[in-house]
Amino acid sequence: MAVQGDVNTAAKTIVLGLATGFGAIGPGIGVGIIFGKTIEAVGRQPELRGQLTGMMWLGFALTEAIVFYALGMAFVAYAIT
Amino acid sequence: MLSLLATSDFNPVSEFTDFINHPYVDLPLGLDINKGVVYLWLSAAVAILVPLLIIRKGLKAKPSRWQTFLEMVYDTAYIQIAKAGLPEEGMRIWFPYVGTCFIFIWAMNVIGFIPLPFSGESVQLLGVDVPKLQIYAASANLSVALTLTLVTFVATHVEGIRYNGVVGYFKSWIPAGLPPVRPLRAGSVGAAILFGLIAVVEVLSQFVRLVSLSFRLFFNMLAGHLVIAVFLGVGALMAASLGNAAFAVHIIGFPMGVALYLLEATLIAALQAYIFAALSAIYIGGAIHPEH
Repeated sequence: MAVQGDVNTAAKTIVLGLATGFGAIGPGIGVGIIFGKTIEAVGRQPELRGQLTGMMWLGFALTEAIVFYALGMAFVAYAIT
Repeated sequence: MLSLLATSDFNPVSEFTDFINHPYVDLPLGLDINKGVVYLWLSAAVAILVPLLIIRKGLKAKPSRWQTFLEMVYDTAYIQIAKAGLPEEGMRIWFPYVGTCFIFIWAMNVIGFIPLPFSGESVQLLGVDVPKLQIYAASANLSVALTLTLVTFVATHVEGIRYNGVVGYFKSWIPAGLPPVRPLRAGSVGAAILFGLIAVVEVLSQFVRLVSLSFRLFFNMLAGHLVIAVFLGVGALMAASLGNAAFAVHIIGFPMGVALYLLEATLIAALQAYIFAALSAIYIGGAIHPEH
């Protein structure tokens, strides 16, 4: 397969993917911890399930948003360089 | 966004920016009526009319399926969102606001996953011009998310000042337990530096809220749509460099796209609305009752 297009765009695209991918590692672990701990907590005290799920979704969203900061910054880096 | 018949010059990102250049009605001051505005009106109409129609059909002691659904939504908005964040005295004014946020953003997100003929392009099908269907969310747009966030941001500080007074409110930003700053005493320089640092961090954190609240909604919807677009159009994307043989990857890409579509349309759309409303309630409640 012949390589076409300029190297600059290729490098920027690779960086965009890498930045987002690395940025997704931490939140991935964090989301796993949040769900795991909530399951643990519900296992210990099933009567608190309602309150715990509310807090779980809040924590989930706060953690998940970090991926989007990485994605946003990657887009910014892509656009300005 | 997702053309039914993909072409090889398919660019997912431009689908979210092009509409600004093609308004339906041109108005001065950038008040054009374009696709995003139409989607906003549509979601406002759905958010108002659907609950209204269910209520007008008559509420019964033995609820119908629709009534059960509406009661569940109200319960979520009242108990999980408003009660969890707002103190008792703020409920009267701010429960309607966070409830509206919840239902409006939810309507916006869900409408964003229904294919509608607003793409402005059409295909010839049996000699008839059929408009191309596309999915596009008004909330996958920073100006919409940021406007909603600004309402919350302004409301937070106005309510904080109204309930605690100017001095009391800004004092409440500084966490309790800090060593007091007393001029001309031993250790006062260290205490002053600590106070300054914490003040800067607290002021910054108020502005970071602005970014985080709006970016969360905006990028969740944008990334959701982009991922669906990429998986459903992966063959078209790769065909540009690999030729028509690349369309074979649709065997994997298409089911993945459908799975992601279902996840986004059911879970993420509702979850983002819930999160936005819950965080608005927590921020406003936190300003009304700083120690809360």
